Amino acid sequence: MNCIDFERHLNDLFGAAGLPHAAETPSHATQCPRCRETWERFRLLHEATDLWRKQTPEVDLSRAVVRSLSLPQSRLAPGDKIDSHSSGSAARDARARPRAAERAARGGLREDFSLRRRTLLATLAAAALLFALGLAWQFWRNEPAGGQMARRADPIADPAPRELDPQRAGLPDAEPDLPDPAPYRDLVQQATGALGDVAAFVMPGSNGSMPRGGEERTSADWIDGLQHQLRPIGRSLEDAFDFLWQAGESADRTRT
Amino acid sequence: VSDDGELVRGCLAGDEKSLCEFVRRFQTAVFGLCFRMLSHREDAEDVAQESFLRAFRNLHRWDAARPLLPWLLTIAANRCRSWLARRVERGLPADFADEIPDRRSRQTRLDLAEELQLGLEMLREEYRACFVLFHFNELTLSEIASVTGHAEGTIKTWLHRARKELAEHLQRRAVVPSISHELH
Repeated sequence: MNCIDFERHLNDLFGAAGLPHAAETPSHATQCPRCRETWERFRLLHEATDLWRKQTPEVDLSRAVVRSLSLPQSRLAPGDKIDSHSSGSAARDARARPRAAERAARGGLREDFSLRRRTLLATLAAAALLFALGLAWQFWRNEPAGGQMARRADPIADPAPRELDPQRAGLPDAEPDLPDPAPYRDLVQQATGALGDVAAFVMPGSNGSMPRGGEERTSADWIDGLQHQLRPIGRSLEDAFDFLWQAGESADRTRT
Repeated sequence: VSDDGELVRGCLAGDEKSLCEFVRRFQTAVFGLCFRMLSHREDAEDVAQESFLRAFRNLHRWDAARPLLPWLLTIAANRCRSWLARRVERGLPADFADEIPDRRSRQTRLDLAEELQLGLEMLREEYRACFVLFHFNELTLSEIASVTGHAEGTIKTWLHRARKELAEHLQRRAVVPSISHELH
């Protein structure tokens, strides 16, 4: 018998009829120090297991279990959690057992923790809902404003005033709030007559000296400049309307 | 009521005496498993009670051709496993330290059984279950295999490792005296 066989034999002995007493030590263990130590350890484990088995406390669960069965909670569907603290717990049933109060307090702590966790989850859910509502409100509120901003940023897409659009001039006036275009038209005619055509207009923000691909516009027609909010070159004016304003004043001076 | 089948029939009929008898007949095995697995008496009582309640709810599913105890121990072992998992999540119970001897105090001389239980706590859960089912509940290897859902060979290996680790634990804790006596 070698050491491996000995350990296997020892394990079988332990599992079956229990270890024999030291007096019946297998012959291999008397010659091999390592196996003798293993033998000692297993012999003591065997002794400890005997004691350990006998030291299991006695308990009577029958009353508590039967009482729990009579409670409605015990008739839950299989797989449901049984709250042993609220039903007829065996631990609660044994009133004479020590530390019952501590145990009840521990149960209370668990319930308290559970309540706290539920409260925290509810708060988080409410905060998330409020945040989502806020986002939705902002989106709803900004959508029309954004559209307006987009329309402002794109003068080409902005339709010309009805009175300045030759294609729409003959259509019936659907926007009664607009001011009477007649004086404005007169002003334009006077300015045109006094100053003639403007040499060039550029997009707002451009200095006009360095044309950039496709962005700059040149026009001899000031109406085009006004319509597309272009800027007259070399006149230190912000837009075509200022130009028209000065042109009007100039026309008045000429007339007088 | 002597026969398990007859006892189960009485329980299914709602006979209170049969229910009490059922609990009394198996409570030592069920509670012992729970107590040795959880190392905490009150937790073990709760889990044992919960195991009986689950067993009663599922009693109609029990196969009368098979022994009742391993079926019941399967439920208890599963409940212990769930309880241990929950214990990891929520931490040890407040009075756990009172139940188990102080593992750090080497000056405290524990008896062999306490040292063994201490060693059991340090084992892998599977090893511990095998050891308890074999040495406390006295199930055979095939019955343990059916309770735990593992192959019999695996159970044999786990059992051997459990014994080896426990024996080493006893030696580390200086419970095993150095070899001083004569072997004959």
